[in-house]
Amino acid sequence: MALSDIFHAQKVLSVAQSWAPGPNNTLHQLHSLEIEGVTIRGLFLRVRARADMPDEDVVFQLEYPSPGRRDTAISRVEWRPITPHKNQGNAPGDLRFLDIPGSHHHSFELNWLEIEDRMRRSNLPVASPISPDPANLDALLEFVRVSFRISGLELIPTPPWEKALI
Amino acid sequence: MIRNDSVQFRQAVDAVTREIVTADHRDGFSFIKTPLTYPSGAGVVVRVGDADPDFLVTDFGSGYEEAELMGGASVYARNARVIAETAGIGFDSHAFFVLKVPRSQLPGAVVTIANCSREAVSVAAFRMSERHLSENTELLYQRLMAVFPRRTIVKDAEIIGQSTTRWHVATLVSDGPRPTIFEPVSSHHASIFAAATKFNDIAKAEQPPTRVAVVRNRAELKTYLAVLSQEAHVIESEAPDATLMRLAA
Repeated sequence: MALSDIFHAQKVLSVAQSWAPGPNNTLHQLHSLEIEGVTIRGLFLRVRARADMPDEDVVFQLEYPSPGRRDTAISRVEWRPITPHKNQGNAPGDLRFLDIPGSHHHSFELNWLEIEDRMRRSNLPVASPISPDPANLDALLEFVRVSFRISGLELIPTPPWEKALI
Repeated sequence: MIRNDSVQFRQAVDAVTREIVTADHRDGFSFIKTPLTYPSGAGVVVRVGDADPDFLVTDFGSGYEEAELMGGASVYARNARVIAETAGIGFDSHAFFVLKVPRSQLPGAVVTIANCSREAVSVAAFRMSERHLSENTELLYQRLMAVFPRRTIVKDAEIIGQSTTRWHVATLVSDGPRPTIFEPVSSHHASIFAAATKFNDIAKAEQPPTRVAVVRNRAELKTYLAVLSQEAHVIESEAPDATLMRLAA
């Protein structure tokens, strides 16, 4: 399937996964996705959170392999990231050279080169701010549901964030 | 028009300085957002912790996570160790760190950690494109074996250029009226320049072999296509067998 077809298809997350611990207190999930009842080879939703940072620095990344590339990201949402994003000169219009300190969306449309049917190099370098900022995890899941065209995200459990001692 | 010796101009520059480096203070540690960026545009952030009376400085694995998002975590870790050693700092398989930094050395430590983290991600990105190229070479070799069953196909052949440099080419159809080089070239500018330099020197040798660059997509190369085609034919990897046979005839 062409990259654009994959992105625009209605996708389904149908199998719940638990959070796996990663290095540096990170939490991870990797979900296979279906299109029209078929789990598509190489099509994944990757999720990353930080155990010691509740309601902060959560990443959703949609991945699909394409010829000629080893990195597979085709879209990414970063909610309240620690690391700001800086667009370079190849971003269009007002997004050019924009410094984005808060939540942002590396959309498929901004990073897809239609004529060549491939993603820009350097792992989705163009992003746009998300406004209004999703107020909580449910709002973030709704944003991802619409942006990535994925249903079934309610199966993703809240990360086991560590509560700060008062 | 603002004159560059005016107060307004200087205030603008001062404001920019404060915008590109900021601190974010948390309970027990702080993040310093540096002006550096990873290849994706994500800012390089360094974490400074309390190691009273000194400081702990680390990239807290953010370079590793950046590489992981592009599928290059293992490549990152391998190169990061070397980068850390060269810079005289620590790397624990995920994060760069310096454990006890006195106040006087803190700025240098922050800059070094940021630079190392960024360098490791950039190297990982480049190594990943190189690894892909070596997989393509093997695929090309297998294809040539199938297309030319009666000819001798040499992998990693040595060709001497006009400068007497001994070049290695990915594949060579070595017998027949005129040997033919088939060389996979990625769209990364370093790969293109290396191939163009090699082809240019080989082209000027006595009785040079035919030179064919094999790329994934010619349109992707833009103006670099003309750089490559100055001394080599250029075909796409999906070109039909008849094209390969015509070039090596």
